Amino acid sequence: MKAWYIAVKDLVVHTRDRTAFVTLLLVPMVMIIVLGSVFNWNATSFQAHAVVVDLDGSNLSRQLTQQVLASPRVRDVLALTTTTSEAEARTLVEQGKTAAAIIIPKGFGGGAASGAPARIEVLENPESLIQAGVVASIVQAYTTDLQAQRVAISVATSVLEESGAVPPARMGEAVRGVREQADAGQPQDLIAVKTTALEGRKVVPALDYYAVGMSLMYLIFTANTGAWNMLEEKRQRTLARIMTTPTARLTVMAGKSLGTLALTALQFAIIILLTRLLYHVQWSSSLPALLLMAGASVLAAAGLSTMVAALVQSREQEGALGPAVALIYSLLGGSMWPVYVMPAWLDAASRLTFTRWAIDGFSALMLGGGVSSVLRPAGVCLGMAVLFLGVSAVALNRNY
Amino acid sequence: MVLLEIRNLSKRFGTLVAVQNVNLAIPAGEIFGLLGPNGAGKTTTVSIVCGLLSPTEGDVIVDGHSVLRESMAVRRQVGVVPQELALYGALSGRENLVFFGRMQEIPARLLPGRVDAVLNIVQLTDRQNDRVDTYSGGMKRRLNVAIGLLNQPKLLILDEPTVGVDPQSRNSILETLRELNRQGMTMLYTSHYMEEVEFLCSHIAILDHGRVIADGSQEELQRRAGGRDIVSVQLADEADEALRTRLTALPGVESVELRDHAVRIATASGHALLAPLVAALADDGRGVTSLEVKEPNLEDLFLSLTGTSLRD
Repeated sequence: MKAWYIAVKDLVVHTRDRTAFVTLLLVPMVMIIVLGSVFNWNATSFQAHAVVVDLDGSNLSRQLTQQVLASPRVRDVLALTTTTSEAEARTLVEQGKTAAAIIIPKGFGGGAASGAPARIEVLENPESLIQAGVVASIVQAYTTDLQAQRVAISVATSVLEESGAVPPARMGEAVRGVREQADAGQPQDLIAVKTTALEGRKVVPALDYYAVGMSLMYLIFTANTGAWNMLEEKRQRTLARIMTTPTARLTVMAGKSLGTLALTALQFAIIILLTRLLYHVQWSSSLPALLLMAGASVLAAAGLSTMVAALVQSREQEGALGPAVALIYSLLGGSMWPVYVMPAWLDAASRLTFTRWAIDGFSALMLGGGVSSVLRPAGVCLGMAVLFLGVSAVALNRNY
Repeated sequence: MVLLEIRNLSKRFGTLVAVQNVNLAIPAGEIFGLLGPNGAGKTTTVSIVCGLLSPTEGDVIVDGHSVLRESMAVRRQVGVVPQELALYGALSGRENLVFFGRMQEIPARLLPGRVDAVLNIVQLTDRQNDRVDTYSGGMKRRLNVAIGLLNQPKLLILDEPTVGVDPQSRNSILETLRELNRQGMTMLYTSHYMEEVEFLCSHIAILDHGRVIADGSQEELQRRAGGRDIVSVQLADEADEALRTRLTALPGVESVELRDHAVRIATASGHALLAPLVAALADDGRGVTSLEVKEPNLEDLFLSLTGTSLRD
């Protein structure tokens, strides 16, 4: 019961420091939205913008604009607008209002039919080279296919003439038939846009990922605050005063750890709730699984910070070491960048941190997993928490 | 009946000897003073009595319980007022008292009444719900004392409880302690303020470099200081040899020193000398601008025993 009183007292003391409490909530929320927006790796969100000018108006040019560029598959990656003025299209590119302009010159269709070179001009905005490159590639794919068709028709006509299989009187009709068959092909099949998962894995959206990453990072920072408070109590002699009462050392330490745990759990719960409401982060569809993973993470963070506080001798040492440990765990564990872009050695090293296991666990939940999907990561986090608290108990008994 | 007994107590920190073979016995109902300069070993001694430090050698017995073997039983008998303001600034005065009351295992049904009582004793009832970090230094000191009183201890240990407070708060604390002693509370009071120890304590031990260099009742110690009063007289005119001869002839005078307008007379009893001294000066036509009688004190004793001042 005394441990509970100590924990409640610590929680009250912390929550009355309104500036610190708001900072502990506000800063992670801002970090989540900033990092989630800046490092948005969601592939389906890529879309190039282009304007098309059809000065030809032939069947072939309409085939390009209506069947190729406006096909459903291309529409996902290319937002197309049309204009009738080449000058206007150039101006839009020059003003940076579009990534590229596709100009189909007059006579394009006729030239292509007669076997003349089929040329389409693509104006690229140098500030949007990737988007412009996508537009140019689509157009080039079409023109290349078109030229291949013309070569095929030419070869087929020559073969028919030389073989004598078609009487000369019916030769014109045969050539038209070949062209009609070629034109009846599926030009939209030229472009196949397909979003694939990275290395065959599903990926958590950036905002959701950073909601986890930043929450874990600030979980350690908050736990550090609790640990710092323990050293502050040692300095201010309130800890010694408690020790002069009939209260066992172990009870005092349990109370202090429980207070840190309660503070970090409160912060984590509020961040989960706020990110769900404000950023629509899908933490989990399974409440028991979410509670298991969150509980294991909170225990590990509180254990880590308690261990740091137990091992150092002064508030100043903790002030230097605590944030350093928090940053190392966050960098190594994947709070700052996605774990799947890490090189192999870093990926292996990251598994020494509870943050990595927690990120794996929460990612599994965000991709639809349930309790069974987090048993391993939660188990590792709990194991680490036990290790940290064990070391803390030994060190606290020695240093306090 | 001896309430606190300190037996052959020693404490070493590595090569540093903080307390060396201290033996003290404090009867119930006394205020016992531990006097000594900073670093003399006072705080180390009371820390061992409180159970905060383990002795290197020796033992402390409180009301029949050994601090080594029955630490929790000892803690239930004592209240502690540390030198530092060991308070939570973010909590109110009442919240601090309730928290420490719970740590002292005061039953929940009794706690509100105890809190009210100690708030009343230290005169903080009207500020009980304010955050402690809004209190003045003197109010914090009083609250620091109140926490030590919560469990109605048999032995109250006070380690320099008036450090850094204004005279008014100091007087208030000292009067409170005196009243509590009159009601039967035994106290161990450490200080380097000689005046406080002289005001409060019936028995005193003087510590220096971890050792008890003198102990006994206040009267005994004052006698050991030399037993001579000093009467200082400031004259309107310069003192001369004729005056020295006249004063040396007065009853009880041991020596007379002259310096410009000042005369310093050593005597067995300053108060007994006052009447003949004033009469002699008037008879001789000497104008007197001031006259002071100074009895021997603990400062003099400490000076005579160690060659240094308590405040050094």
